[in-house]
Formats: sequence, structure tokens, C-alpha cells
Amino acid sequence: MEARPLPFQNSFAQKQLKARLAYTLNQEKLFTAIDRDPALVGAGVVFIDERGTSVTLRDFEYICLSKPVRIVLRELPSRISAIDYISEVKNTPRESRFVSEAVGAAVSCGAAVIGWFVVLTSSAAIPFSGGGSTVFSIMAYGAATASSLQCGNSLMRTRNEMTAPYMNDELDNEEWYQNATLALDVISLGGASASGLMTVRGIKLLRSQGITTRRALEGLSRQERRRLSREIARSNASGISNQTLKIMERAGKIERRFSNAAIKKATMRQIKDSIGATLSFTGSATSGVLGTLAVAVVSEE
Amino acid sequence: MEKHCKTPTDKAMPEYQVLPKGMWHMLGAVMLMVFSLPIVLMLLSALVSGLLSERALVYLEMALLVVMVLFLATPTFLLSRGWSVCHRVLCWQNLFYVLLLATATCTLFLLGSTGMAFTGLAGVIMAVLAGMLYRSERYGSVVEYYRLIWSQHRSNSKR
Repeated sequence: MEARPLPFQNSFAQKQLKARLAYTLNQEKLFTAIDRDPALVGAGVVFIDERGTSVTLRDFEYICLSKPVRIVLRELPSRISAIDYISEVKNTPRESRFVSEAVGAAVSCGAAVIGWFVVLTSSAAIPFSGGGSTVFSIMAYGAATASSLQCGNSLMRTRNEMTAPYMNDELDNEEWYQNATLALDVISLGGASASGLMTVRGIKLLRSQGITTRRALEGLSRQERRRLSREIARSNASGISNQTLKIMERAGKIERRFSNAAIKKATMRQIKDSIGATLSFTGSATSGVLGTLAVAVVSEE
Repeated sequence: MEKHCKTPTDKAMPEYQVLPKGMWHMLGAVMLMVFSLPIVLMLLSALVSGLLSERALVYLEMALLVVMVLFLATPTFLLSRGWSVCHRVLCWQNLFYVLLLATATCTLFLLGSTGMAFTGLAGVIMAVLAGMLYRSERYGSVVEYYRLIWSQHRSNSKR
């Protein structure tokens, strides 16, 4: 088997995986066991999870061996048996990466769609809400741009995986690329968090008036809408007095009573935003428990 | 273009619409363009692969992708904030990509790279569809809607 540098799917997933392994895998014990074998003393250790994210647990050290040897611990995907997986790893080691790149592209592009949806809907809402969500809208722009970049990057990586897989490996080993993908993840997650915060804020506002999301969608009475409009104004300008509130209402600076349609649509938007936030998190983060592992020893001839 | 020259308060504030008429056209257009951009880069890199090393090509692709996405995302965002002039920028940008994709596809086809030519064809179709959405009546109506609500909002903020 040809030895080549192992890929890092993205640095955020990699950090998550490292954190998971720190408490699920006794690395010291593993290294001691490896070093007991004279043929493997100082061998590098690489872990690949079921999604294809890989981390180097230990670099190869030239102690007894002159040519680099790496031990690859590979988590088994739940869909196939151990025997089938071993033959798959032997025969088509990159096939699973093509699928994971394609899935990554689909998730990134899905997040981009929802990111742009949030930008367009929040831009339509700001002039009516008195500019309360301007910061979130700009964060949503950042998230949509970052997701679009990730979408484009994933599509190109999928192409690379078909035509020149080593180009992906080369990129994955570049520190600037790891940092850039991490930055994009953080920006995407920032937008997702902003959407989440907006949703939580909206729900808290509704709850403070004893209104459930379902009732907000069904429609509220005049008094309820009046109370909710005041609560929204108070939330946008904390510490505002009732007197000032009334003056601003009379001056038309704040909405006296939001229409039922506006409340329903805002609630629907928050629900959609939270779906977008979930997708962004899914695209960036990884989770799961340590499953069955395939172990491969890779050495240079 | 006459409507763009009118004062911000020339029309009454329209009703609040969370999904303004034509918003799906806007979303569709931006996403089709997002899908077209990597195809443009793939074709360009296939054309210049003989001139540059693979490593340089990867860096060039990444740099161009960032620039292209920013050039697409910023006018789209500004358009949603009432800057209707960005509509023209996006239309011209789309036309540029359509021409670039068509030229690259034809060249690759003539060079015998059929696989890449078909990929290019998919890119041309997506970019042309995006162009149709950009020039559609509904897209124009959503641009006008954003312009109106934002010009009203800005003039109210100044008072």
C-alpha cells in the first residue's frame, strides 16, 4: 500500500475528534503497546473516524526504523460488516472519501441556501422592526458568504477526489488551509448562533406574554398584539420608560400594534432560522462514540 | 431606470412581507451562481493546467473562489438592503460568467476534453438560468420592494 499523508477533512471536526479521543482512548497505553513490538517502535499513529476525519495521534519517530511506519486506526461505518470493510479499505481506500466529500458538499450547499434565505428574510424584517436585528443580519451575511465559500470549496474537493485525490491531501496538510476552513466554520457557526439567539429571544418574548409559538401562528387578539409590540420595543431598547415608550409610539418611531400576519411570519422565520442554525452546526461539528476500529499498518517500501 | 431616480418617500411604505414576491427568484439566482462559480474555476484550471504546476493551480483556484464569492455575495446582500443599483452589477456579472463558461466549454470540447465540456455545459445552463431569474419581472419587483422599504426606513431614521 502506498504511503501518503493522511487527510484532515476539516480542522474543526479534527479538533472535535481530538477532544473525543482524549477521554475515550488511553493513548499512553496504546503507544506503549505499539512500542513493545520491535517492528513498530516509534511508528506514527493516525486515527480516522467513521466520517473520514483523521487526526495524527503521534508522529513517526526515527528510533529503530529507518523508513516511516504508520498505524492507522479506522472507525467502521455502521452500515457494513467488519470483513467487508477490511476488503473495502484494501481495495478502494479513497472511495469512502469521495462519498464523504460529496455529502459534505451537499450539507455546505444546504447551509448556504438557508443562510441566504435568512439574509433575505431578515433584510425584509429590519425596516419594520426598527432595526433591532441589524447586527444579526450582518452576521447572517457573513454566515451565508462563508457557507457559499464552503459549498464552492466542497464541490471543488469532490472534483479533486475524482480526478486528483492527492491535491486534497496536499491542501489538507497546509496549515493556512486548515486555519481558513476553521475560520469559515467559526463564521458559519457565528451566523447559526445569531439565528439561534434570535429564535430564543423571540420565544422568550412570546413566553413573557404567556403566548405559545403555536398561538402566535394561529393569531393573537388586539390586546395581546399591543402588549407584544410593547415588549418587543422594550427588548430593543432596554431600560426605556413607559412615558418614552408612549411618546415614541405617538411619533411613529415604534410599532403600536404589530399585525397578526407580521407576528405569524416572524414566528415562521424564526422556526426556519433555527433549522438553518441546526444545518450549519451539522455541517461543522462532529459527534459520536468510539466504535469498532479497523487497524492498518502502512509503511514505505 | 426612472423609478430609481425618484425620492425615497415618493411611494407609501409597502405592507410587511416576510417572503416578498420574487424572493425565491433572488434565492434561486444566488444559489445557481454559487454552483456555477466552482464550475468556472474547474474549467479555467483545466485550460491552464499545462501552464502552471498543480500546486500553483490549487492556490489560484482557492484565491479566485474567495474573490468570486465575495463579488457575488456583497452585491446580493446590498441589494437586499435596498441598494437597487447592485441589480445591474449582478446582471453584468452573470453575463460575464455565461460568456466565460460558454467560451471555456467550446474550447474544451474542441480540445477533446468531453468530460470537462459536459461539466461546462451544466455550468452554462445554471448561469443562463440564473440570468433569466435576474432579469425576470418578479426579481425586479423584489428589488423594488427592498428599495422602497429601506429608503423609507432610512428617511425615517434621519428625521
